[in-house]
Amino acid sequence: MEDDELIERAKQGDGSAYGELVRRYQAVAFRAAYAVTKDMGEAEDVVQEAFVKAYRALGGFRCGAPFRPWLLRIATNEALKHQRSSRRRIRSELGLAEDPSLREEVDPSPEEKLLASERQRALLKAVQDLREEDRLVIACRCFLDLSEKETAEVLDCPRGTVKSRFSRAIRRLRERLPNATSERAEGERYGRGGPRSGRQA
Amino acid sequence: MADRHKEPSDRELERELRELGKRLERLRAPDVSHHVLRSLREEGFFAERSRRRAFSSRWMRVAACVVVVVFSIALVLTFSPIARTAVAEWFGVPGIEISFLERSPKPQPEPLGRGLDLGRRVSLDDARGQVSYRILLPTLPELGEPDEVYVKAPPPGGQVSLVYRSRPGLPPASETGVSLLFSEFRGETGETYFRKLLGPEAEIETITVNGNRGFWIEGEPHAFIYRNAEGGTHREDLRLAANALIWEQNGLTLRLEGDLPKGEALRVAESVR
Repeated sequence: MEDDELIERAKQGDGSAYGELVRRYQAVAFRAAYAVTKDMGEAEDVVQEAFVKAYRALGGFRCGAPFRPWLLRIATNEALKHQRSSRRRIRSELGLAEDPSLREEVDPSPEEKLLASERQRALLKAVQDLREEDRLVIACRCFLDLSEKETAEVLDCPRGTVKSRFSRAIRRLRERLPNATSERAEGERYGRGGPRSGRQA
Repeated sequence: MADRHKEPSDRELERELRELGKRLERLRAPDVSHHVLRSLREEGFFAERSRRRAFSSRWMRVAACVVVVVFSIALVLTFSPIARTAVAEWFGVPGIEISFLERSPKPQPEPLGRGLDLGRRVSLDDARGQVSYRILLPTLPELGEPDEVYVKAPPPGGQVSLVYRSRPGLPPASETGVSLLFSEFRGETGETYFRKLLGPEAEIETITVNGNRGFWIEGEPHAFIYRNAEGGTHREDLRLAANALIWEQNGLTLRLEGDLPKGEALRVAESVR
């Protein structure tokens, strides 16, 4: 069944139609939320809340419009809101799960286990250390495979700025990365700007 | 000896990121569909009798219900559990209490806040240590520091109330001696999490405060039901027989009560940090 029909049925009160819609989009919503929260448990909470909010807002959803960017916008906003809640503040005040280097020493996370190489791990960490707006645009364009138009909708910004935001984010990401051949980088340069710190791109 | 490794170009980096993205696609996403449906059912969606609730007119139905409910319960000062349940279900929010605040002038004990059931009086610094969030404060210079600070719990995480007596520029103190009452606790004011009971002359308006959703209420005193941060509900009576501005900021529900016109209340609210 097409999204449009599921949405229409859901609006009429068909719970199983909405359930189907949720199952169809929860994986991508989860990845979007995860890009912001950096924590799988929190991403799960966020996704759940996002779908609840999405249902309540369904009355305002333009029939025939693409559902995915609309939903992802709700999910990323929810994740950003969640990020700033006091619960997170407590956890970070207690020093839990915020310091990426701390996490690595304890146990490789499920995300890290998925990654083949040191380089990919370093890349993921660098992305996670970016400020939210940079992380988000990179997630939209590279992890969630959204077009520039969809990305603009998710980030609620004009389409023209997506390109520049993305290149800024890439630039800032590069500044955080150890050198290309990472074997040597592991112990020595992890987390530092390295020789590029003086360069203005 | 400086490293001369060639840094990846932007395109190369982008390619690497996409590869990383493909790897991350394998992250097992949990199935939240059951939880989502259950939450929505708890809010009254997908119910059998919701056939009569066409989605787009839900709010209109709620508004219509309010008028009827107000008249029918105007004579009822306390609710039996059965009546409470019936009213709550009508609003589609099971288990939510709705009640009327009686208007009666209160005596003026010192300090001003004591008669208002605000909790334990403490210093502002102590309050900071007793709640689970960073306390937000209005920062208008003419307001200055609050005269009294109170903390109480529940709600989870604690509620802070700041009492301001009359000052130049603030309206004269209400019958309680308090000019402005500012309270905060962790919780949401999302539209389904927030139910209000309107007195026959009360008016409510949605409004934006500091970019957040809020409500401006003029008229009769009210009780409000909020969803707190743990997902539980919390009932609050308005303490002053005055106008109220309620909004959400930094994951907290904030409430400003006082005999202020809307513009003034907004000015105070927008200074809150």
